[in-house]
Amino acid sequence: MLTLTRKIGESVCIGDDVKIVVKEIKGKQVRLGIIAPRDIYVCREELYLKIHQANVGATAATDVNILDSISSIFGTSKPAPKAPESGEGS
Amino acid sequence: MRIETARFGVLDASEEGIFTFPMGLLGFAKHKRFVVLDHSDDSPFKWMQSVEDGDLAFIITDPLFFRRDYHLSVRRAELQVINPATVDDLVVSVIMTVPTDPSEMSANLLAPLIFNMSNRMGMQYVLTDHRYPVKYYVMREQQDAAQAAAHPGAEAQEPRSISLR
Repeated sequence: MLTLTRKIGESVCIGDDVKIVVKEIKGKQVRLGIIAPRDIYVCREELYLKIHQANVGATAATDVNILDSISSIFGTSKPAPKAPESGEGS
Repeated sequence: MRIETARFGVLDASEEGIFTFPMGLLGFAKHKRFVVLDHSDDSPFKWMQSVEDGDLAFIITDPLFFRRDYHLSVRRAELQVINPATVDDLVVSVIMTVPTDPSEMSANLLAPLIFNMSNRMGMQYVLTDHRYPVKYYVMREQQDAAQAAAHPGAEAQEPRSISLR
């Protein structure tokens, strides 16, 4: 890991597009400002890991039989879902 | 375009049928193109199949099915990647985890998918306010939801799952 020492107001650049600014230091907490392109995710690590784990888990666990039986429960009692329409064929 | 998939065999998807996720999904940054397929005619569930990887597919659904009060209030700037002209272009879906035990079935309400139907762009939006869990156990919560739905007047207005500010 690369370790750098910075003062308040100073920055670190990562590539051409990402800049991290030290905004404030209060006791054991540091406030960081992040400038990054819109098309990359910037979030706290805990949150990132939580969602990453959920996404990976969602692809791993699928039981299609359960999906079929649950579909019928939901399908009868609720209005049609508003969800992106299918994209197959043309 | 031909896509060889593990679950659906060979799909023939038109370019217009493909949704582009410029950021990918968290943990799947390299997967930027998906097709959405119905699970079956009467199912509320859809599959979001990766174009790049035939083995990768997510189950998605409308969160309003089981949370009538589900709502995102999103700043327009946060959606720059999918660039919606109006809120009416947007559709919100959530990713489901469907294991063998139905009571363990969960929906990721913390990081929903937002689709722009007019330019067919999508993104996974990360909520930061912790109002909604990453694992919302749909079947366990279903009883409460049914009671709420049965309440007279509760459905006076058609719920909408997203607004822009």
